[in-house]
Amino acid sequence: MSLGDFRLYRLEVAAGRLVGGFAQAVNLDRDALLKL
Amino acid sequence: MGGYHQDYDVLPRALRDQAEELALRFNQALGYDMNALEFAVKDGRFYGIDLTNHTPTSTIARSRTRTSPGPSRRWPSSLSRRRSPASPPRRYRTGAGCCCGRARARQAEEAGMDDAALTTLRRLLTGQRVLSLAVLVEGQPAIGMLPFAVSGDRRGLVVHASGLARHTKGLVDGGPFDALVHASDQPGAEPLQLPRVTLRGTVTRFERDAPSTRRTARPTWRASPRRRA
Repeated sequence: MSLGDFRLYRLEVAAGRLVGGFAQAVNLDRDALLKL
Repeated sequence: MGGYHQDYDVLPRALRDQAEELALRFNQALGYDMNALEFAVKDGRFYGIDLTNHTPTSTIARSRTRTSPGPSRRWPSSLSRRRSPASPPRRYRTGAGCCCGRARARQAEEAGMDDAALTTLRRLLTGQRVLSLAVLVEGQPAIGMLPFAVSGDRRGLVVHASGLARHTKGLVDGGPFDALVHASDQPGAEPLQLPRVTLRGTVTRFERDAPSTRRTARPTWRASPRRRA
């Protein structure tokens, strides 16, 4: 193993939560990133 | 230099809405992210004049159109999926109108995310370069900081991890993760009010040199605007 032993991993999103500031929060579902 | 003057009220509301609906269906059918369409209307009937003025972008997912230049020029299987059950009736394929950020914002709003939230999410996931990733290693929590990009299919993220890092031992197929991306802290900013997004789901390891890796992960990584900066 060397310092160059890097790999790519996929993080499949199932859910999440976005906080944009005070009292501004949105629950995210698995389709949230499709809207980007 | 000249410029465009955008006036949404130049048309009656009903006509404008119909044009927008037709344009959305057309662009969804062909997989365009951004496209300008021209139309003529006579006796309430729409006639498409110039329907393919889409804007190619650099990511692999957004280059998957029939005519845009980019890494992939072939017609992708993902596009045929987009045309399945939700695809519009064929008569709409000649529809016209204007599709822009406003249309995307409307789609997001329908999903419970308003324009401001969508902007925040986009800024976080395309403006930040690293995320904090929490996983389980031998039943214990482990956290690390990793560079990331949004995956080409926009169903997840792609991260780059060193085999020497402790948290990488928790990056196993099917393993759970929790990730945090937050806006950069600024002097004077209220720390608890920093925009942030937490995402959770499951991990998949890309096998080196596997066709799926070459097709999806690596082009996504190279195409990320943040990687070129």
